Amino acid sequence: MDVEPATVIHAYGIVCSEAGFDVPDAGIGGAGVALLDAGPVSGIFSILPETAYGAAAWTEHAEDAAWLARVATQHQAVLADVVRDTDVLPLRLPAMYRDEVHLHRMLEAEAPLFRAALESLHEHLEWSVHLYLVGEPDAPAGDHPTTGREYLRQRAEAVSQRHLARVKREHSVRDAYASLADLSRQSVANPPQDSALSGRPEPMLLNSAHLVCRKHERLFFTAVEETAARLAPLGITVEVTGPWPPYNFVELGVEHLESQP
Amino acid sequence: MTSNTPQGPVFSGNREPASQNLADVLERVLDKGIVVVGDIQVRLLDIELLTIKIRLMVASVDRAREMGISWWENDPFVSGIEDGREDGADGLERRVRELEQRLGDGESKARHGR
Repeated sequence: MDVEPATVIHAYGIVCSEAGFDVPDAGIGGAGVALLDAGPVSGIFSILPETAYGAAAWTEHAEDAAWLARVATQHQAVLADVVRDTDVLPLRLPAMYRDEVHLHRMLEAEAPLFRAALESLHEHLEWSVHLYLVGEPDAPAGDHPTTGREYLRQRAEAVSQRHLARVKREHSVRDAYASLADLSRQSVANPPQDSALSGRPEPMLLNSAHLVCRKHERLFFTAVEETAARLAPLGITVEVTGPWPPYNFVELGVEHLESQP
Repeated sequence: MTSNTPQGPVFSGNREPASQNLADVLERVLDKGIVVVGDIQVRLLDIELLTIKIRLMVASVDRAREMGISWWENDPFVSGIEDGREDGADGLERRVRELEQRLGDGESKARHGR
């Protein structure tokens, strides 16, 4: 008789099997986190109740921002712990397996690919850079127009000034990105985040991710500080988050054999 | 400055309260990272559909375009298109020049009119 509650495997990421690191205590839903050795690579995983995290739960919550946010945050928290100590390939959600056997089979089959990716990303972390427009320089207060012509001239000048400011801003944002990209092995500019999600009312001018060698972190931060100093007079503020696992730099779409119909 | 003057860069580790970094987390965890479609159970999900929905939630590109911030589309670091880079800025500069010209024309016409 089957009295064991049904479970699914949730995989967080993939590490080199010989990597030394502390396996995080708790993962999604407070579940324990374990390591599955599949030869050259190992998978970090949790065993979760199927009712809460199985395929049906994912389908049910596909548009449930609060649910997705919680699962995504807990998934990331595990990887954030690991990435402090060692290189890890992050898996995109949903990363679900029926049981350890299926996860092991996948890891074994894709081991050469994962191993190559881990080696190429060795000692590199991802840092996120956001530029926000927090203030605009004040328009020069012209004399109060005394004639219609003067009024129109001032209007046209204001329009022209705004265009110039925008051109200057765009150049500055490009320059900022380029100077940070110079210190990164790879960089990518993603579309700015929606303020509904970022919770920030200010327009986001840049949403970039940078793959930076652990050894060059100080240099990168110094460049960020210099960039911030250059952008401050334009009303632009710089925010950095990280370190992240190299989410933006693992272009591996693996269609495992079993998934073929 | 009309509003808050920017300070130096703000550094925040990704173990800060989740609300601070939720957009970063969702953008990465749901839209980046390795995809391994490796289990029959996963196939039950319409992953494509889920991904599209998440994409809509994570980043509203159209909204960014409305604000005129779309330079990443032509960025050589992203697309490898080298010459696409100048279009946006040049276009704006051209418009500024046109405006300036129109402004000059307007003034000379006004002078002639006297």
